[in-house]
Amino acid sequence: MRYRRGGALVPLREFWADLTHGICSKSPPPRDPAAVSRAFDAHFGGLTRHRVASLDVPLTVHCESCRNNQGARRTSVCETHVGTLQGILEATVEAPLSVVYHPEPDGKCTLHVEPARSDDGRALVPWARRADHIALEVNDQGLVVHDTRTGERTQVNAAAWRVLNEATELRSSPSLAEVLRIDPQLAVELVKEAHRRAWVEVTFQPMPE
Amino acid sequence: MQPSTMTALLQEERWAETLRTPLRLAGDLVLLKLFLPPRYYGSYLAFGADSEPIGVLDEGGLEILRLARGVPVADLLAADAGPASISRLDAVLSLVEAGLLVPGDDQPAQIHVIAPDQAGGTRHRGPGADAFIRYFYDYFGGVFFEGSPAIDTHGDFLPVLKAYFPEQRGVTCLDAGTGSGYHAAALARLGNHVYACDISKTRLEAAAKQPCAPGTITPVECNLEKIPLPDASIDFAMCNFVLEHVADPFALIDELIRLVRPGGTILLAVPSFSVRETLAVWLRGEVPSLNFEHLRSYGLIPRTHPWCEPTLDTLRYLEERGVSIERVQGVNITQGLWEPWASAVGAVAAQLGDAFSITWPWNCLGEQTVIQGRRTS
Repeated sequence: MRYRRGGALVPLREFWADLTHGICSKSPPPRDPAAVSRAFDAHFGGLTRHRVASLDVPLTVHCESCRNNQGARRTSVCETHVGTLQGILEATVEAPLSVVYHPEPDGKCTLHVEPARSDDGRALVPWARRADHIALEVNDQGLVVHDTRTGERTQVNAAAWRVLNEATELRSSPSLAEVLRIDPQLAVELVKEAHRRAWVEVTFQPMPE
Repeated sequence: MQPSTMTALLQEERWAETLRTPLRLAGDLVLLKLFLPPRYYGSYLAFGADSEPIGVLDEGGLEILRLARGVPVADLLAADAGPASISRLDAVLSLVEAGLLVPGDDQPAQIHVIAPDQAGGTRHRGPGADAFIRYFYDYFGGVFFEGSPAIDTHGDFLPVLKAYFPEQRGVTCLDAGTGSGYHAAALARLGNHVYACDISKTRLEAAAKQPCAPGTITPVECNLEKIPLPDASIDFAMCNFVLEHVADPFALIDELIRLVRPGGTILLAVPSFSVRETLAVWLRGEVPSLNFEHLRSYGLIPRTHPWCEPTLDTLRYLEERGVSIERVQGVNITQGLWEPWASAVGAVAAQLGDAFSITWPWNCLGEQTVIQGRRTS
């Protein structure tokens, strides 16, 4: 669930954000500032100390005693560190993010994290497509999602079923909300829940024009 | 603003100078091939001439770089990959923006590719391999100062290793590829003297600070293929989760054999293809991934993966050079195994009891493999 820019060369920070997001999204840290801070420390034990007060985006990450920010600072280390933190945060909040960092004297650094935008400045929304291995059924149990790979069947409510039914091809969450006449935020939450269950493939792209 | 089609671009006067500009490599490049599905399977982590990593290059980008020998931009756009396209122009411009291509006629510059799946096996030798090892582990150490718990302790593998530590105290030990010295310190705290070797100065600085009394840790900064210690000077040499990282694992093994005295012990711990991973490739066609910082993984069955280094080849190599294999242990053999295989393997494990982890073939089918050898000559 990331916004991926094209090009022959993926910058170092983007690579680490992508890689870490892919690893963490299977089991992201709880949406709790302390848990996320611990996740940061698990990756960068002795590099720096991280402090996150809130996970409401836009948010700020404060770093202190950073060993790469005392004396000669290596950009590659900063980019790797920030990219990894970005990947963890994106997996936790389930949305693409944009990070700007400001190294300060004495090993301090502040990371400002905001919702990512497209290259031309447009807001990004989730676009979803039902996964090929997912089938929808109506039976005596009601509305059912059938994962044909595992055989698992899950009963779902009408709103979730309708989203999956509509998303036979890549659909933006606003278009799903419009066609299903549901609240746009509800559409986003349903897409995210379906993604957590591996029922849909999701990509973030600009709002449809 | 770019034109919407290549035809339009080629006709626009403002692009004419750009298209005529010859481009060349900015300097030597070292590229590590990655196997991280889905997006980075077959991409390359690129290190520039200043030894710093720049980013990850795709196959199309590598092709452009190989062609860029003082070649005009227009010619780079119309290469074998197909007709010129806006996306190929974007690719060329992104490489210029990243500093990999600069205007100018051809200069001597090389692209060294370290590819774990190369046809000749998983050994890498030569200037590209030397540069890669220096660049990569300096970067890796710089990022993970003192190691993160998740990386340097290998999920707390110490209890497994401790069973192999020498019973005597005060012996002379070697930890080849010590990282932050976590395992070396444990060995030293038993009263032993440990030479902790690593290519990364930053990691050795952390190793030197590890509490190690009553033993000692002597940090040694070196390429592990050329450890500056005398022949037969070591009683116990360990090399934990390092062979998968070095350019040539057999050169490192040669060095360990040289350093260990007759009667001394060599202990190797490596990541390996587990039962689950082997079956996942064969039966389910799963796309495997290789940790980006690994160049190989050890497996029972050759060619399980393109970068599989057969464990049996390593055992044979040791024995041919006077190291008697005393024990091979599989660790986490049944980890992640799904039914019905979990029950089937579990039944075998129950029948064998404690011997399960050291019985062939199970001992070569764990998530990790530990090899204990004794130098006989």
